Amino acid sequence: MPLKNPSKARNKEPSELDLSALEELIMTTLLNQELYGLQIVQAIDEASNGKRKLAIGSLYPTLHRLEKKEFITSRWGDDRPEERGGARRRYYRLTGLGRDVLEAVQLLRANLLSWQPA
Amino acid sequence: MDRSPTTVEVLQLLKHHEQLVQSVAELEIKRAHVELMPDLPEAPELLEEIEFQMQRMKALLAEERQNLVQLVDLTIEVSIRTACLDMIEEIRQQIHHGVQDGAQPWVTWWVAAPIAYLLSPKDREEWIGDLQEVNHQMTLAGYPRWMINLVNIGKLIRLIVSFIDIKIVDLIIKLRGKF
Repeated sequence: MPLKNPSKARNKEPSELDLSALEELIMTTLLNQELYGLQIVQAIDEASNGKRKLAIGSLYPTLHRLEKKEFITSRWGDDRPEERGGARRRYYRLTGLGRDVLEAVQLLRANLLSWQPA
Repeated sequence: MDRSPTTVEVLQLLKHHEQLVQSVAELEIKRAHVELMPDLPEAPELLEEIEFQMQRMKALLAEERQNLVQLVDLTIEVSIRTACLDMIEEIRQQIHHGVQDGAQPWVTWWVAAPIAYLLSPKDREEWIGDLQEVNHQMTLAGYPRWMINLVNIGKLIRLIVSFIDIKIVDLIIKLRGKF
């Protein structure tokens, strides 16, 4: 799905944009790949060795928020698998703005780790 | 024999069969040589002995061939029987867990699907699709149907909360735009 107003979105300062822990986690999962809802849940579960369980119920509002913020975008898959009752999968990926924000947040973390009082 | 014959067993039998064929061939050559020397005094005894050995070898060969055929038949029979047993076990599991072929648990059809009509068509397709996929994975993992229904109820409650959450977010965004 194209951004509603890419120029407006690009004008946002990444440092001004706050991310919740869950939003950051989902965005990190989508950093280099396009995934659908259940794959995001599975990726986080497997990457954390089962220590971080993400419920579908909390996944959708977060994805919705991120999409509204234009940090991620989605598209419908072409196939209609039988095990989904013929429903298509909705694939999510990071937008350019989302990538910038994520990098800014991760840079902040790295800076905090190396920060020393004067 | 209630187990599938191993490849080693079949190969051993084949090897033995080949040795017998070789021995019969050697005896036939020997007989031909003796027949070429009719003046040899011990020729009749030799021919008699060779004939006796050949008959013995041929009998053994026939027996080995029969064993080989039986072994191959058994291999096929055991393979088919194993496949049938697997199929029966799968059906038994489905009956045990109350899962019919491709059927979705009742919560999905009678509760989740109607509630999903509160959502937009896009969200409905995504959410119900994901729920059905989770059901399918749980069914394959052998979970009983009552547990799948219970998990579905839990997910459904979370989805309703998510729906309200999304509506609030949309409202806040709309209000922010106005003021």
